[in-house]
Amino acid sequence: MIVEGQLHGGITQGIGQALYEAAVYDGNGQLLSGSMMEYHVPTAEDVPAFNLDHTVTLTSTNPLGVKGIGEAGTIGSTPAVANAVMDALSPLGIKHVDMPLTPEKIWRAMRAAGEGRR
Amino acid sequence: MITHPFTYQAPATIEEAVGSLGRTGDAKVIAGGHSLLPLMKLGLEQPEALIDLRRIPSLAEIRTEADGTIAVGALATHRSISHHEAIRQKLAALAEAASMVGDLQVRARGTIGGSLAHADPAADEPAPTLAFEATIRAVGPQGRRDIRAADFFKGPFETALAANEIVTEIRFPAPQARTGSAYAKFAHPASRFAVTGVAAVVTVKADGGIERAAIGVTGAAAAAYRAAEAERALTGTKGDAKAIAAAAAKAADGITALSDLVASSEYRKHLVTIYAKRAIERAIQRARS
Repeated sequence: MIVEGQLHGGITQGIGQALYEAAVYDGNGQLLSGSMMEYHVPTAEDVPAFNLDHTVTLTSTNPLGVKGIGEAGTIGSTPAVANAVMDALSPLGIKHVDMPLTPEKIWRAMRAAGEGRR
Repeated sequence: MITHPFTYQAPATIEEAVGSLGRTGDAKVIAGGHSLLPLMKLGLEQPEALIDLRRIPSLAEIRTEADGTIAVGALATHRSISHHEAIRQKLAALAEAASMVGDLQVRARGTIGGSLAHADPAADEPAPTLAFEATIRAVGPQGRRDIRAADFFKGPFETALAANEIVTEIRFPAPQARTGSAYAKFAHPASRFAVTGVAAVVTVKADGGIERAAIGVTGAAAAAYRAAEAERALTGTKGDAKAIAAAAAKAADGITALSDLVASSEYRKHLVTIYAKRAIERAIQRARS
């Protein structure tokens, strides 16, 4: 249960990095995304249901064979979501968009790709 | 934390509330508090006095009058509006807009009167209020006054209300037969305010063609507005996909669009056209069914 909860949180955090979270500063160094009204941390509403699975491999570096799990979910979820978006955009010849992959960035990339073709 | 001192009163009648508002130099009216209290916590509003309307329960009523007008009390919460049977049936765009305000807690406490009087450019309910051509009823020392929605929203946090007037109800005229409406919204991912919200109210003729269209847009400009060019473009057409697309493309005509971290002004204008199309499509579907 604890492990599953940690993974849910980690996967969600990784999705946040892929789609939503960015610390944005203006030219004077003023933080623009300074409150939770501007900086979106994904909630249960923003993410799908997760099906979790695991393997068991004891570590030899401590007597109990235990490992940390807290951030394991973040490692895979960011590239999984980012790659899915890039795969969806690949028919347009789009190779890269900086994270977070916000609607406006996708729109601009699609428009630029469309203009390149004309 | 609210760091400055203020007095608090909770009058039992609207006349008493208007009297208090007139007597106190820098007073603010509070209902749900979901716009005012955050501003007070940030120090952006520092009223000397709060006049709480919540001891005037009649202000929360929603009634259907003999001529079909739906009168929504200023203290009706977003939640009670979105669940109200007559509003869901007759004023679907209003029910939808109310159901998309903020989150569950905000909808349970926040009120339509507060939302309109506060006039945040990204508030949801101004869009259907404009599109249904509602009237905002206010009471002041000189008595009551009805303000057309089209004359009400003046700018960001600026309305036609005088400093000593209080909104008591919002009056939605009964829509004609064969009228459908819908609200479509692009929500800010964090705040859930409308980056763009479009309410469309469409009446169709017996043959399904467009007799009349009213489109209210919020979130996009300094104040919520009627998309008059788009309404004109849609009226008299067959209401097919081509006509809808042509009309929606004009929904951001002539505006100076807002810009923030979520949407530049250029992208916002694009969003207005997309969400106008979605709202118009659904409104026509409902009008024909």
